[in-house]
Order: sequence, then C-alpha cells, then structure tokens
Amino acid sequence: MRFLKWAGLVSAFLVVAALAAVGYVRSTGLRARATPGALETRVARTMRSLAISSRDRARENPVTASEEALQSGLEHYADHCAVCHGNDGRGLTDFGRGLFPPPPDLRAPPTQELTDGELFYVIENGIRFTGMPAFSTGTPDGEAESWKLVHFIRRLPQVGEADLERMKALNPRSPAEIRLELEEERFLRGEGPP
Amino acid sequence: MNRMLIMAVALAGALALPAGVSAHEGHVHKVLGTIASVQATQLDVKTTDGKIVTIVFDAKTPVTRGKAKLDAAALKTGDRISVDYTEGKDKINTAKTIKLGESPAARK
Repeated sequence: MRFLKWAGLVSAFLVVAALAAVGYVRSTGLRARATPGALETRVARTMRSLAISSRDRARENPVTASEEALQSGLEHYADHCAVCHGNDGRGLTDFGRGLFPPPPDLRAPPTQELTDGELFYVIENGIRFTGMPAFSTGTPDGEAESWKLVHFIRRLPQVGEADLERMKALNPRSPAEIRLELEEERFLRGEGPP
Repeated sequence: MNRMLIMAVALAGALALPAGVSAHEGHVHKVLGTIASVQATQLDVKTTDGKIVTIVFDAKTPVTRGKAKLDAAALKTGDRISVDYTEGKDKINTAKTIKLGESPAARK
C-alpha cells in the first residue's frame, strides 16, 4: 500500500514536470529574444554558485594588478569578450542582446561581488546552457591571461573614454566593416563626390 | 499527499510562466552624405546616391569632427557627415554617433 502511494506520488510529479516542460517550451517558443524571469535568474545564479567549489571560489589572483596587467587584460577583453559584453561591459551589443540569457552587466554588483576565483572559473570553464564559452587553454600562459582579465573586469566600473577608444580600435572587424571604415574616412576627408 | 501535489503544481506553474519579451533595438546602420537640412533634434542627410534619410538626435548624441567633440550647433547644411543610427519599430531613425567631415579650411 505504501509502495503504491509513493509510486502514485512520483508518477504525479513526473506528469506535472512533463506538463511544465511542455508549457515552458510552448509558451516561450524557446526564443532567445526574451528576458529571463526573476525565478529563472535566481535559479541559474544559484546553480552557478553550486557548481563552483569552495576551493575554486577562494582562489586569489596570482597576477599583480599592475598597469601592464590591466592593459593586457583590456586588449584581451576587447578582442575576445567585447563582441557580446560590449566595451563598457553592459552587454548592449547585437550579439549580447540576442543571447538567452543575455550577458550580465559586468559593472553591476551580481558580477562585481563574485570573488576573483569565481570570475576566473567562469572565464576558464564557461557556463553551460548560456553563450559563455570556456576560454581555458590548459597552459600557464593562458591562465595568466585569464587572471589579467579578472583584473580588467574589476576596472570596468571605472573605465574611461580613453580606454573605450582604445578598445574600439582593438575590436575584431570583418573585411566589410574595415572597407566601410576606410570609405567613411575618405569621405569625411572630402574625397569623392558628396 | 495533497500538499505535495499542490507544491508540485505550483512549481510547474512557475516554470511554465512565459518570459517577458524585451524590447529589441535594431542593428546599427551607417549613412554617408551631406546635411540637406538641420533642426534642433532632427537632420536630413542627402546620401551619396541622392536619397534623403531623416535622423533624430538629442543633446546626448556624440558629435565629433576628427577627435574633437562638438555639440549639435556645429551641424551646418552642406557639411559632409557620417551617421551611425538605429531604426526603431516606429521607423524612426535615431542617431548613435554623428561624425562631421573636415572643414573646407582644414582640407586646404
């Protein structure tokens, strides 16, 4: 009798879970152009927190926060991260806006309150079911680059216009974008018909 | 038993809540041309192929000539201009950045 009761309970839960899954898929259309609800955001952040071990969380940045390290982090960020996160870290880029979940505002407390170890873990390992890739190369040099990136992410809330301009010049561009940029420069110099 | 069932249904309901669709800004377009007319918050650009593109801007829109930052008062009819803008769902083109060409004196 007791077995039947539990079997019924488990079956009911599975049916409800299946209905919830179908409801979720149908109601969202699995579209990426949506904003995660508060519940989804909280569940995802809790999961991420659970996924990072206390040992990884407690890791300290072994790279000194020198100006050289910050500039190296800036260059790396502009080349690898800005396409989704934006040069200013707000995530308001074409790619960023189209991702689900969207990249977080790196200047905001939910990111800035992560430990250096957590930021490093996310950069190195990525996050499943999101647009965040794993950048680990498995080499000491690669790790050092990621730690410099951690320093630069800490700098993002205070990033100035000179840094933004420098990053703009370092952002990856397609041949078509380079062509358009050259065309614009020539036009603004007064070359060619108006 | 009943309480557990209610909790399961509540959880299912929460998971099935549709996520709100966010407003999505369009892609950034670029137009090259000359200023055909300019008003306080709007300008018409005559493109290199003769079309007129109307673009709105505000006091926060960056206006530059080379590395110099200017304000909207620097926009003059006939100036060469490059504008990065987005087209809204309401078909209104909003400037993100406005770059002015070198002044004729600088070109000499």
